[in-house]
Amino acid sequence: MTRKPESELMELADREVDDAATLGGLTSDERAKVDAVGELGELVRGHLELSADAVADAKFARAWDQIEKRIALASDAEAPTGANTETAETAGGGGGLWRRAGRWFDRYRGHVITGAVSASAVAAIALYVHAPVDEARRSGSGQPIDVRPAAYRPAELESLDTPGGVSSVFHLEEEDGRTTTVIWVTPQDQDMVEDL
Amino acid sequence: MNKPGQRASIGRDAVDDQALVAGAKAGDRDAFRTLFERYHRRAFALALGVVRNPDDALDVVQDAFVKAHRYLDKFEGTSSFYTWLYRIVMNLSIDHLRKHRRARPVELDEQQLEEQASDDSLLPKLLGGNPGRALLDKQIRARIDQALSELSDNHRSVLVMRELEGLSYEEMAQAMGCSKGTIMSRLFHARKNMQKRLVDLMDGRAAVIDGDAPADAGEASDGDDDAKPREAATAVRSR
Repeated sequence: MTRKPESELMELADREVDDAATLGGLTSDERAKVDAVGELGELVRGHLELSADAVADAKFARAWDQIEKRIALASDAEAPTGANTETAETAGGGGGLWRRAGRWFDRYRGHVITGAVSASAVAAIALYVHAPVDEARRSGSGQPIDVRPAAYRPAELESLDTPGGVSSVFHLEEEDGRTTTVIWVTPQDQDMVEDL
Repeated sequence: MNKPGQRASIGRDAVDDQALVAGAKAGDRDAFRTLFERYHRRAFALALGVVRNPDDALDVVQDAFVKAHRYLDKFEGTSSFYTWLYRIVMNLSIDHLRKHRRARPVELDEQQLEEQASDDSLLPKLLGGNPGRALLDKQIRARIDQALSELSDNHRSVLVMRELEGLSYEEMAQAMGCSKGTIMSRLFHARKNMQKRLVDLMDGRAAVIDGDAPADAGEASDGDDDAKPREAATAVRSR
């Protein structure tokens, strides 16, 4: 009997050659080799599958989180270049814009809610802190302050000290009732005044 | 555990996958998550088998699912989702190996391993025909792990693809971008080297056939891809 080349035995083991007659005609050693190839395969496969099964679910859960983040980042990066697609979807009446907005909201739902709650809290604190000022404003007229002089009265000068001379103050009544005030100064030394 | 040759494209799963893929294409995040939950461990086992480091394998799985999501529109559904996914996982695993290649070139490493293994051959028995029981033994598993790690990257990749995914020689050739002969050669030497490293775990007697490897143009020094293996004499040795 012609001995089979080992490559043929391997092909038989891998079922690349589906020849029952060939398999039946093998010697015991050849048959054992075919079986050993299968056995080695089971050892390798079993070892790798058990190794994969030994990895904790939490690790894969973290891996999925990373995958999700990277997909979201990739989608965001592609969004500007995907403007034509978006337009086409909108034009086609497929609600692409709404769907995209919905997807965005779904993706950032947590951020949106956190932001809204934070903004509300800040607004509430601001209202609380500034409430006394507003109350003070509310207690006034609420109108611009009208500044008026206390009285309209002309100046009243009865005397004036003038260095180097003597001054006199005259109040001249005019016809319309108004009063003009005149200050007359007489120098003590006429010559000195002329020198100036 | 999956049986050898099991394909994701058969049975009810494939139909479900198609619906999930359609949903994921339409933006249904839960559909894509279901696909992840369905295949992440299988993809991880494949990546782990090739890159060997669990953290690196997890990175590969992450990258693979991100890439799958990105190119989901290009998935036409002619094959199953997992068939498509494992190609991505496999390509990324091989890319990972290239980026983190060890100091010595893989080609030299393979030649060396093939030379070392050339005076031995496929062995008729490993662990008494009960691999399921053997896998309960931590020491045996550690030995298998060590043996896998000592294979060259190319040998290990082919062995993992074949044993874990049950790919045909032709499918592996397509996935790795090489000839069927190269795949056969790598697979043959990978098995032979694994057996050599696990030989002391054997019980019973072992037979050795001298030099009967499939010729490989890509890695061996002579012959074309589909060259026929040589006939060889058989020697039997006892332990």
